[in-house]
Amino acid sequence: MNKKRQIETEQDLVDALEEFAYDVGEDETLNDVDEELKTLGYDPHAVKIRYQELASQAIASSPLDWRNRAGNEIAKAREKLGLMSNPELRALDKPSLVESIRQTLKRLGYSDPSLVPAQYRNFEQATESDLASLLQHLEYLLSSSNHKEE
Amino acid sequence: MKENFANERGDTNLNASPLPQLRSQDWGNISKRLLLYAIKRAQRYGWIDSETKIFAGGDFTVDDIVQEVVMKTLSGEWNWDSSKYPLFTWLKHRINSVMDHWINSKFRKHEIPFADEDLNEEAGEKSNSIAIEDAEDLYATEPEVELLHGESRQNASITVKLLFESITGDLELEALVDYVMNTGETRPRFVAKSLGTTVENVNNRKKRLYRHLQGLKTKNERLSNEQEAPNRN
Repeated sequence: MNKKRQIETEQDLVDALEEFAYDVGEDETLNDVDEELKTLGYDPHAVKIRYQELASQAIASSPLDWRNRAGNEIAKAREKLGLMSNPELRALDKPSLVESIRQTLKRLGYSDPSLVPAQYRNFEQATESDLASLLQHLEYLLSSSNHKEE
Repeated sequence: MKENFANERGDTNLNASPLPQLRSQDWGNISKRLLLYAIKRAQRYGWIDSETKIFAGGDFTVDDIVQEVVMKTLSGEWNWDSSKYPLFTWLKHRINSVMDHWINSKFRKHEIPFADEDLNEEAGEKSNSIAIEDAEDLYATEPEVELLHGESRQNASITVKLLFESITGDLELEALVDYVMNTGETRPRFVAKSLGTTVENVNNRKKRLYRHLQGLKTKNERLSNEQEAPNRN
């Protein structure tokens, strides 16, 4: 971080000399850097390996990578869906599940195109497990649409 | 913070992600240089224990600071703009910011009353700032840090006298100090050109000068510790 400065006092001279002497530039050889680190009690090879690993991990999970940002969104959605897993749904009988699904669809307003396949599903032929799973997903959609409205 | 990075294909777009460039760097070697820079900077101001590399009165090491800078750069929390600064110069600036901020927080809590303004907050904002408007800002030092630096500046004339005594006989160093005294120029390539030598030779002189200055600091520390010891008893 060297720069040219006016030297008018002894303090200016000390500052300039220190700024020069204590700086580390890219023009210094790696051998020199290693030697100085050794003098200071570091193992340069160990430092290098440690920071390479640190950087690799940081790059692999960096939000600068759009894949990681997308992955984070998916993970959040999955976590939210998991949190909404309601064991009571599994205990409902088939008519109650169908009724709950119809109520949830009504609350969703039937306007969301992503819901169309669900509306046309034949509830009577579905198993209770499928219905419970469908209800869970609809409740997740309802919760997400409420968030958007907020 | 810029969120809308365009893509990773290296498009010359103002919003392009710095990730491809960051990914292509040799972080092992960059970090070694950065660590050495951070240690020397802390030594310059007498902020670290030479054995443990722990900051005086603190519970953090130079390594902690370098790690924070590397991690925040690679995560994009601090956005390096390659069109403005070379990466290593920018990383050194971040080291300065983090180090000054941590030192301020520590000293503010324990020693120096900065009652008039919330310097902690100000320092924090600076540390997180994305755009650095011009080159001067890159080297700017916060006023409270200047205060701390001032503690090491009390004996400039003694330092100059002892340094001149210390380097007498090393003609290359004498020429270097003389040149800096007369021109104020310390950029290695300019110094090398003016002294009719190579940058490598200037860097060798720089290392020798560092050892002389560091020797004086260690000697001063020892003397002041010896002076303080009878007072404590």
